Amino acid sequence: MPSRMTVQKWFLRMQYELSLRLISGGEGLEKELTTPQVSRPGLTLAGYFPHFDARQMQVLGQQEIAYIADLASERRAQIFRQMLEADLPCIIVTRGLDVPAELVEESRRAETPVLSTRMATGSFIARTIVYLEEEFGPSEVLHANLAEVYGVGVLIQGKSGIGKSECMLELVKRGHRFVADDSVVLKHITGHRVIGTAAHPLKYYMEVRGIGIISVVTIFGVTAVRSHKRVGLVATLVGPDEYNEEGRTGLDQEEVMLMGEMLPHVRVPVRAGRSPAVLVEVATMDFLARRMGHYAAREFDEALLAQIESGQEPGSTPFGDWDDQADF
Amino acid sequence: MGVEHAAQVVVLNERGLHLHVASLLAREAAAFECEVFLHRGEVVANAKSVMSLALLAAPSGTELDLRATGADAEQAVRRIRACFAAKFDAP
Repeated sequence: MPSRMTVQKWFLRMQYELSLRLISGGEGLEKELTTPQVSRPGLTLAGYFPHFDARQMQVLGQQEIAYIADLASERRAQIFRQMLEADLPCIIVTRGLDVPAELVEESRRAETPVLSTRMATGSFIARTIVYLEEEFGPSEVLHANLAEVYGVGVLIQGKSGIGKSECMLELVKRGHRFVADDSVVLKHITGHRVIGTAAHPLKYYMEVRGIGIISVVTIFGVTAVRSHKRVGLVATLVGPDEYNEEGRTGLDQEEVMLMGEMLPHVRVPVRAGRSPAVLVEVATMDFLARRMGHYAAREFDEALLAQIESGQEPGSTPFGDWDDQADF
Repeated sequence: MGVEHAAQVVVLNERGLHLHVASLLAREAAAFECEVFLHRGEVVANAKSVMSLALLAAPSGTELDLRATGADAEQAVRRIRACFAAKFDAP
């Protein structure tokens, strides 16, 4: 994790999406979130404190608020005080429910933020956990490039000097989007997704051999860049010495393991005078077609097998079934 | 240009010369310098090209004329004959 994850960072990032409002205890916004888990403290409110995990943000929904409302005011204050003494990061009240006055008061004393959301508890928790897991998820830095090609995140890897940056440059020139050059930080998050972003905090710069450092966003504009992108396809640029698979048909989908996830993989042969960017583009288009169920190699093979089984002599009259003679 | 070497080969693969077999054959042929062609009657296929081999649409049992021209044509013919006999280790 690059930096501390604080309640403030989460709040600022998610306040609109989660319709969050700060109610009290704003002095504690710098409190640290150290786990992606959140808690619904039903038993805690009932006075059972063993196993109470104070590292988690505490979410009070309809049930919790209804239960609390039935308690006497002093009991409410006492429970909230005891909870807050555990130094938890923050408390969220969902569904736009009224925040109990005792909670407001105790949170001020404990300098712990209390926030309110209009969202239902379930969807609030689901979205928050996804966000926090993205923040807390394992990450690794890879020597590779990441581009968005036709909406697909394509991780471009290969040996030093094979032409990854030139490939990236040509993709951007062809209207695709730049995410990272040279070093990509990959993060593994819930739902079997691998997200990549530029490793360097100075995003959108790249080094081009023979030219030097260029600013992609200045030269190509804001629509030519993206800050992060889910990796959907891995393309490895390979030189003639590594490419010994002449006659690859695409009948089977090669895959590669990336942070524990199997991702579709293509090898793109690089040779002098050829453009790997076009091959990356077409590989991406074929990937999109396959995702929609159009497996060109299999369709071709099935048609070929049908022709073989029909026993028909091949190639006799390739123009035979043309019904439109206009071109002659 | 070297002399032409020729041989007759038979497709032994049960499902004929389908895409997978064609790709294995193309890979073998591409390893040689010489030009390699397969003839099925009037139809001629470049053995180094998968798409070209698909033109043959050769079912199991088809006899094909293998012709190679070039420096290593003799080795190519020997190798490719052996591959046909061994069914390219494929179904």
